[in-house]
Amino acid sequence: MDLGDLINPSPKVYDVAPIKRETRRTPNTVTEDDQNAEQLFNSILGPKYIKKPLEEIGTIDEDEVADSEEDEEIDELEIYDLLRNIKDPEHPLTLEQLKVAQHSLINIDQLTKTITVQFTPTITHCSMATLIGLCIRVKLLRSIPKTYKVDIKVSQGSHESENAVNRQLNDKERVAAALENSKLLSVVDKCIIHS
Amino acid sequence: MNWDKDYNKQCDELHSRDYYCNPDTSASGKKEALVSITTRISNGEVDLNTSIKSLADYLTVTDERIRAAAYEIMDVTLNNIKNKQEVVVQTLCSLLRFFGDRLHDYECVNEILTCIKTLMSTWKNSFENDLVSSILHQLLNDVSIPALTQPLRLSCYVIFDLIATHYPSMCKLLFANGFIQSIDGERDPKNLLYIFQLIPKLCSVCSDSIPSVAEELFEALSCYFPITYTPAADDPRNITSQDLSLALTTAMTSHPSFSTYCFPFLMEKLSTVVLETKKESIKALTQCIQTFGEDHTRPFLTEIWAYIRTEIIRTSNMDYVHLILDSITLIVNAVCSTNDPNINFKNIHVGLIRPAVTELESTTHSKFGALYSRMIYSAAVASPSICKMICDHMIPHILQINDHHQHSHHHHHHDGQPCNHDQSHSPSSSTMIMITQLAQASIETSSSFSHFDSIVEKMNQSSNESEAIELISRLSILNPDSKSCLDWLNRSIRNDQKRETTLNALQWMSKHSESLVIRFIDEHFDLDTIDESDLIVNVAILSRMGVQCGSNICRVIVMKLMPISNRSKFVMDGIHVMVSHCESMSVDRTMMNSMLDQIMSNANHRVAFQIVLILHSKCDLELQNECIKRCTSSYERHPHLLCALLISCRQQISFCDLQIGEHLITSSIRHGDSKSLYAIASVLNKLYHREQYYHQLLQCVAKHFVVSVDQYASAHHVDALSVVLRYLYMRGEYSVGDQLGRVLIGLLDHQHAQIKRAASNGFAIVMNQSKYDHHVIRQVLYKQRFFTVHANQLNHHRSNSCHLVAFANMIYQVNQSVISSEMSKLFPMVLRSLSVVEGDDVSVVDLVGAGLRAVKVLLSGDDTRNLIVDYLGSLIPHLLRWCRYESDANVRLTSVICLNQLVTFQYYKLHPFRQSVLDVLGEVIGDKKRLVRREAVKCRNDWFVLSE
Repeated sequence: MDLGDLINPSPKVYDVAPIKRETRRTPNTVTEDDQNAEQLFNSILGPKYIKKPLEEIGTIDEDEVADSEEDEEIDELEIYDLLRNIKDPEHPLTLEQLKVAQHSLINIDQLTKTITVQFTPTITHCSMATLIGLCIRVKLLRSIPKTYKVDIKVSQGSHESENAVNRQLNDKERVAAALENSKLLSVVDKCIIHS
Repeated sequence: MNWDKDYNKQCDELHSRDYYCNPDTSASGKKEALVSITTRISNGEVDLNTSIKSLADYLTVTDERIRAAAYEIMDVTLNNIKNKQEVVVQTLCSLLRFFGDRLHDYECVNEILTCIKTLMSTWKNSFENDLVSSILHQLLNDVSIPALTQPLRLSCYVIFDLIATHYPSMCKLLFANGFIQSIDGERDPKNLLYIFQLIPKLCSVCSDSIPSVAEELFEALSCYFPITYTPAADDPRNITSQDLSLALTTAMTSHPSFSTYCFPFLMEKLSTVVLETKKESIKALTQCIQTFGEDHTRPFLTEIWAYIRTEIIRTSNMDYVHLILDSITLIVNAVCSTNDPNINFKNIHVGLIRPAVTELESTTHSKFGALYSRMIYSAAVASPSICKMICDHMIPHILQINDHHQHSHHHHHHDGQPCNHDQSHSPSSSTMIMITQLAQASIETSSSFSHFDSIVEKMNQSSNESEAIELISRLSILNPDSKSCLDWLNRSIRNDQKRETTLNALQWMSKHSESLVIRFIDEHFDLDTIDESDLIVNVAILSRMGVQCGSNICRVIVMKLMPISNRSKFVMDGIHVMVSHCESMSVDRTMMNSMLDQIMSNANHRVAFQIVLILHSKCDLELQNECIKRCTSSYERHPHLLCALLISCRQQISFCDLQIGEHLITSSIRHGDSKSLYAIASVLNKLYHREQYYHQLLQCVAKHFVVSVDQYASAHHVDALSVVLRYLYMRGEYSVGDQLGRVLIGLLDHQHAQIKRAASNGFAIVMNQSKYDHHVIRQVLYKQRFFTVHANQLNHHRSNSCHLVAFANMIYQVNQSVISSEMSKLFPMVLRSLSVVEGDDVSVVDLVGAGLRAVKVLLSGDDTRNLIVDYLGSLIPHLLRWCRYESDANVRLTSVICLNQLVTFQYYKLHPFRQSVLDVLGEVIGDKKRLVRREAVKCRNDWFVLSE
């Protein structure tokens, strides 16, 4: 594949804002009354002045994963985290900066274990769309458990030959054949190496 | 003989003069000759007449070089002549006349000008007006001043200055003969500064003749506005841009007749696009109004206000806005300074007050309401009488507008139409801001405020908004006797939505009237009669007030809360919040004593220790000594209190009571909790410099530990032992430290699993650092020493897995270089800790966790990682096993991180493991913990793209 001529020489670059996951409150062991009083007191003081717990002498600092043994399922944000830093094949920009990948276009059905990723090429006649789709496919192939089924599509109306691209990206044989091509694989690796 | 000497002298004199005037003489020769001439003149050997006579021929020769040299000698003579007062005026006049006549000699004009300058500055009042006027005439007509060099131009200006100072009647002639043209095009900063300073002088000397030339003169000056000048780095003249700018503005305002040209000029400059010009213009405009005064400004005032209003509304630059607001204050002060109050009012009514009222009346453009309020505030703070005048006029209007708006607001709602105004831009909030600003101005100018009651009445009717709270706080200061304002504040501070605004308002109030805030606290926070839940709310609110309202209020609140600290744990929490956030709070004897009383009667409060630490460190030396003395007497009951005092006192305070020291230590060992352990640290610190006590004390520590560990055998004693061991090692007390270290190692073989575990964790505690260690003079390399001594001993007990945990706990906190030399001995031990199987006598998580941490650290060090290459074959299978370990997420995470650290090794070393690693990581990416999954993905990605 010749990367000499750029399909879209000047794509629009977007600001990248961090997305935060809503954290669940960890259960507390103190009694409810105490907790209510504490909450009341702290709510009046405001977050700036809430006292921090006293440091005990002789504790060892450890980066704890989490207190609870609760399972954390794979969610949309996690998938987005995997995809946001993939490089565009044409530009030294990430899919997030170009809004090719978007958090809102990722959907996970936990019941059927299906992940649907839609992406938006920067222009409708983008011939890189299949390559970008392949990068996403390879990245997810390497990053999520085999129990999940992954569907990759261009978002509706964002590409001239939408159906053809979608069919190509979800055709196991064609994906496998593409990955046999060592030249193509090295292009894909280049895009996802630092993602 | 005498005659002979005189003759020689004359010969010398003639010789040096000839020598100097000879154009072929070298520069150094000339210099020498000039020195000899100067000496002779200043010694009085030659008088003026002789000199003139001897130079007469030279001054008129055809060779201009000789003429110039002769003028130079003339100048030297004039400068150095002895008995200057005795020179005959006649001679001087003819000399000046001569020089004036020679001014057309353009080749020597430099020297001639210098001579004239010297003459006029040395004999200031000696010349007749006729002569001066002819010189002035010749100077301005025969010489083209702008064509001269910079120092000569300056000489001309100095001559003008001398004439203006000593012959004031001649000034008229200056302007008649083209003085203004002579300064045309001047660009040198030093000369400009001189001109700018000269012009005010001229204006005051010949004020009558200025109006006829005012336009021309102002134009010559205004072309320099706004002046910008950046001096060179090594500029010796030391002129700044500010000097020039100030002098220029002063020159531009130096005569009332300039006002006709000045105001339109500055207003035009004000509306340019360049921000710097705008700033300079508003500053100059302010200065003009101040200098020209009310009567000269009045014709332009309406227009000036219009320009200022436009500027402040248009700009988005806050600096500029503040500059304009400051200028408004100055301008208002200047234009309202007449004796007639009607004129004063008129001067600000049309341009400032009426537009503001109109703005508030309009419902469509009220977004500038706040800006107009600030402008009115700036005007009002000019003086008390102006403030009163503005308030008296505006407030009835504003109240009327407010009524009108509220009425129409209700009207809208009756129609069922939604009200589209943004809340902050709604008219009633603008009027509220305006009243607030007026009230604030009244407070700041301490002028009376007469509409208090009607406003409060209106406030009670209006909807509750944050502006209302601000206004109420302003009003409460205006009328401190009013109960309704404080009631209002009390209501709003207890409302969650309004609390922040109310606190800010109280903060503002505390700056203007602390006593009122204190009264508010006294009247509305009666803590004795309320129940527990109300107490929490009150304490929390008071604490916030204490933090925000400055150190004095904070002190009052702390003193108020202290007596009731036994009623709820939150009281101490509140005090803690205040003392830790209010750094400037002063601590006096009463406060400290009442604090100590409270803690002694209500001991062991969890934050009391911290509060004492903070408060005590703020006391002065004397008070600290007093507190320690007081607590020493009751140390048995309150050992913690004494510890806190000892930790927080200054270094100068000595404490060397061995008995108490020993008691503190033994009781701390008995308690074993973290607070007690401070005691050991503080006592060791205090006794550090008293050797005879210190060593006794160390022995006492060692003895008590050996005994207590046997006696109590509980985990927290082992923790205490570890902490003390750290203290000792830090201070370089190795012999006692080793003694206790052996005890710790011995405990690894203890019969109780709990003790064994605590002992192995103890090794991590010793090597760990705590932020409370800062008060210690730390020995360098103490960790290394501890490690080398104890690693060897642990190595002898290979069988016990507790020893492995202890070892792994140490290894990840010690310097890499120590480990690398013993790697071949140490790494197998680490590997053994990873090869445990379930069911061993020590917790797998502890052992493997410590082992993996050690691997992680060893892999990140440059020296050690290269030594690990040989062990990859046994290390990787362990890592693969532990990254699937179900029971502990930290173990999984650390092993994945370790696997990831491996990828920088050479490809051929890793290739044999690549497939198996990828397979296992394929499972780990489905881990139930997100953090583990994330690391696994990163790791797997890196292993995928491994390349040669």
